[in-house]
Amino acid sequence: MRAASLVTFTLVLALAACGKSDGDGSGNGGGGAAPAGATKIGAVLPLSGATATYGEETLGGLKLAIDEINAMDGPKLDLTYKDTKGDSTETAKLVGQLIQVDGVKAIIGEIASTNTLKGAKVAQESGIPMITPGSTNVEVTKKGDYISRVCFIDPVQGAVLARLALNDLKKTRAAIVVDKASDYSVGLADAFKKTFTAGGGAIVGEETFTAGDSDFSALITKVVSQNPDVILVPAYYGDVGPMLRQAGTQWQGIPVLAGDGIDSPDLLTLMGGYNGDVYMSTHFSADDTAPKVKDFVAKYKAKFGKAPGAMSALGYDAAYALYDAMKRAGTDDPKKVKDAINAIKGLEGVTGTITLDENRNATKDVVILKVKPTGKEFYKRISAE
Amino acid sequence: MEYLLDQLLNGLSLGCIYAFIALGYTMVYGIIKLINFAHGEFFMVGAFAGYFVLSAAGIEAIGLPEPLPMILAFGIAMLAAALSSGVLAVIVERLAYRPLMGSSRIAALLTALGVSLFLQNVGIQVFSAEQRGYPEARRYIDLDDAADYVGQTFPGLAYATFTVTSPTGKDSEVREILAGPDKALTADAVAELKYKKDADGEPVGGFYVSSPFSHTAKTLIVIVSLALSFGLLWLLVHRTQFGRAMRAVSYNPEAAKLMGIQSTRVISMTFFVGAFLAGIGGIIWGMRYGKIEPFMGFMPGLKAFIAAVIGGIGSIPGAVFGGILLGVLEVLIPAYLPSEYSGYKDAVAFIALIAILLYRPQGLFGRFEGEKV
Repeated sequence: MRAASLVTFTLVLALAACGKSDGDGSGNGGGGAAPAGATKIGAVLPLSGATATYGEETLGGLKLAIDEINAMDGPKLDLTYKDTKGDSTETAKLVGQLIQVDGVKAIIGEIASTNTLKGAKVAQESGIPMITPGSTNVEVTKKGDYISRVCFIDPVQGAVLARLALNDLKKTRAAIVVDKASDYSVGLADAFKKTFTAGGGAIVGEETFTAGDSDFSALITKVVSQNPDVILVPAYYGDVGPMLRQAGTQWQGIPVLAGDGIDSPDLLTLMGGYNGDVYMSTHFSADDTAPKVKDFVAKYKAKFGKAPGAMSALGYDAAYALYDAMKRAGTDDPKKVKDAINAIKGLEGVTGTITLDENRNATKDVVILKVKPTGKEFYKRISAE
Repeated sequence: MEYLLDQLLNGLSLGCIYAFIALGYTMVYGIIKLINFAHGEFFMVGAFAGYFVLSAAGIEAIGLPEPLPMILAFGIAMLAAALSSGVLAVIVERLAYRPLMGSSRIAALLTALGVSLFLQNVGIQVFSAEQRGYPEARRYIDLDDAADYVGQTFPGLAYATFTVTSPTGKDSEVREILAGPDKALTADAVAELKYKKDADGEPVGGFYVSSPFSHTAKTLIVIVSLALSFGLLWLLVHRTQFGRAMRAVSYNPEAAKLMGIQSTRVISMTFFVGAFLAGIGGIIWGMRYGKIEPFMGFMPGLKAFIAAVIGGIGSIPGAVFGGILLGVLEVLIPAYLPSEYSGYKDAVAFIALIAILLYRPQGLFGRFEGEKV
């Protein structure tokens, strides 16, 4: 009994130490120390959990941009970032913490729409501008005038995917596999359905699953029995990857469409050599030959040892959007910066030319990538309208 | 008809994995009347142990003839998975359950729930919460021999792993895909590898080629391993000295002690054997469904508990039957429901639990035991 409690005690101690050395996933950004007089900004990102690669990529883009910004004339930025663990309650808490404790003047984040929605409420109530790099659900910026984004929205993405299916792939029978608990998944599916049926296509089945499910075998077999000629899976890579791996050859010959939720370097490992047609709509292609993009890709690779993903590019653009607004506002006063952000027009980013519309959503082209077992390749660019 | 058959096989292989976990539940309950809610976490730890062995095993590099390295790697991984689950179970039993021996059943039950939560959170600390793709069977190609493969495509992926510094400042291992079914291996890709370093700072010596099992092969592996394990377990319980001791302790712990049976050791061993099977279940789960994460034990653990109750908790054939029945129900019912109800697949298990508790609380294979006054 004594020995047992001693061992338990040691275990607990060891664990506590473990937790400490690991940190809470937060830290300060940029390569070197922030210059004196820099404006404190915060980032809430999923640096662990099911969407961890998004957080990591976004952080890479942010750090690269902030290093560049601090080396230029104009406003300087001092980044503090926090790990939301991909959890919405945690996101709201951390946004509050950044504003109250760290005193940041602007916030960048989160990536998953469900989390950003929660965090945006806090930012709006506190009157601190929040730019989300990658949350595409339409409701996000409706939280108020302090919330904006540098990416397109799901209705655009869903409509573009539907047009891809109808016009480019010439498909008319779509099966949809949707995560009913995810705002992102449901929103994207709805937008797809609207455009697809309006264009003469039929929805032959709509299966549901819950993020984190492991066994997709029954669902895969059921989708095949509905005899679709195209399958839409608007979900995140952590679910789509294993789903495709389990599908193996069963979905052979039926193209699978997905949104930017699968644009992650982990997708290829999770789908384990799935050799079918997979298309995704996303924000950015590292194969882009535009000089600005080539330069960005080269700098990112030099700094982090791997190619940037869509979220890296969006993080990079989000930091520049903030810089651009602060420069025009001539101050870091949150209210004036907010007005300047909302007036962003024709900002040249690596994900395209960013103009915020009256709902503070970026309007720009959608990039379609084809996913092969060994990598992604540029397929085409489809304009939003 | 083909649809029904396909779905039956899907259900059968899901059910087999439930059965693997349910066996441990039922054995532990049979012997100390404890519902060990941490059992799902033993399953998770097994899956992770298998993951690390499969990702790291250097067996491929020794140069044995194919497919020996693959079979060896999976064999060792399975053993490692089973042993680490088993050892963990023995430790948990010693530290958390034995001190409570003789106290109320509720206290033990709550402790089990606590251990379950504790292990999940340790899992997050140690393994991180992200989902990992489970390694496929693979072979190793040394950089010196790489020239022979240039220009070839592969049925699986050809990849190398090396270390880079991530934006959060930590060293992280990345996997670079060199070639696959759609892309041939290029001399440039091989040449570039020579400059990469692995986690120990050593130069990368070669790359892997994965050869995924087919869907049918995976289903077959699941079913065959359950049949084998069940057979061995039956022999253990009914044909060995230990099995007799186990049954004696289960029947009457006091009398067993008087007959000279060391009941604490028997209980410890029962935990070990139950978790050993859960560990095998874990690796099979990873291989079949392709991803693992620290919370993966929760749902399957709960389902396996239901399976054990359906089969009659305490009964070994009951656990297997209950597991398979639950797996098949969980697949077949949503398969024939209209699409908008397919999200209710988890509800099937819980409805089955309520039904069995209402109409046959002792389970399908259980015996009714009157309360001793």
